[in-house]
Amino acid sequence: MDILKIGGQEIHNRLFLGTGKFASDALIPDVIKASGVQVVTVALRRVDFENEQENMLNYIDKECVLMPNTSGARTADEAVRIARIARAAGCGNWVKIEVIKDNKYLLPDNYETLKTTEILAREGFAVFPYMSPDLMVARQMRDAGAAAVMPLGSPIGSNRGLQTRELVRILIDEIDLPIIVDAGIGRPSEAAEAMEMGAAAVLVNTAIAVADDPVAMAAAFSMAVKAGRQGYLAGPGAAKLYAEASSPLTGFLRDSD
Amino acid sequence: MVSLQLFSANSLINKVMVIVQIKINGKVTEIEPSLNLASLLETRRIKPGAVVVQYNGDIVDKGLWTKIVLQENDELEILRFVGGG
Repeated sequence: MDILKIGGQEIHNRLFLGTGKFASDALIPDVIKASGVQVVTVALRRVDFENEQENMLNYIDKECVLMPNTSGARTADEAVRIARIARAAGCGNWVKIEVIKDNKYLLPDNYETLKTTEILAREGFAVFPYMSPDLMVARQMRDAGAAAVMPLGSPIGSNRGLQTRELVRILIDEIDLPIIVDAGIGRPSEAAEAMEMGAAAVLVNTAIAVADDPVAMAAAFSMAVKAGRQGYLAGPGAAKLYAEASSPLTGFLRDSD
Repeated sequence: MVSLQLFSANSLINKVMVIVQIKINGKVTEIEPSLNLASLLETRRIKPGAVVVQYNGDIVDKGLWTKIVLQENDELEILRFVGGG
């Protein structure tokens, strides 16, 4: 059995689901069921007194592992505060660190993210930092006690796929922590590619949420992640420049030249 | 004139006394005195199961909401979980 042991949990499904941007949150139970995801992210926000809304947690299967994110935080202090509130609210000890100051590309601030990771890991959180794929910072995240590192494939919500593949590949090669590709994955094939490269998991939100049929897309992503993972475990053969015949090169049904 | 001014000042103080100013989600808000947290949320039509409440920096368990009587300068953060990636 191929199990991802991470943050004190045993994860069987390597597709992690983000829950933002769904046309209706009421779709989420079906999305979770169709894909079999176990790890689900949520965000924490101030209540809007003008608009009564359901608590997102009511849509998430109680068996799921919750990964609250610190979205909205611009500094380590803000991220730490959000993480502590989420844990006190009963969301468990997992947290995805997201510290962003850049509004155009929503690229993470690796420095503030590292500071947050150091503080929260000391406090016993399972810390999942969302980061730009930088080897040196990833090493520091590991040394700070991160449970995994989560490099972006391309900017959040862009559906542009694994634009950072070479840098992600280096992280997979060099960092002895699970590498979870987060952000930018737009299609199941791109999720499969990340898994074939040896990513431990992928986190997908927008690509599922904005699909014509989010439930069917979630199922497709789940299968792609499984296929990619199995392909990685099976050990792909080497790529070659020239052809190498698959059928024998002897015993042809013609006279010899 | 002097006595009238004094009288005005006193009535102003009296007026101030019957309103409690607290901060809700970063916004200064006036509430009636002796209001407890549970009643405040009820008047704002907040379902207890839907929110997390931080009172002066600490998360408060729902069971304690009726016991917290809001005082001048208290700070409340009323939060909820939403979809996010």
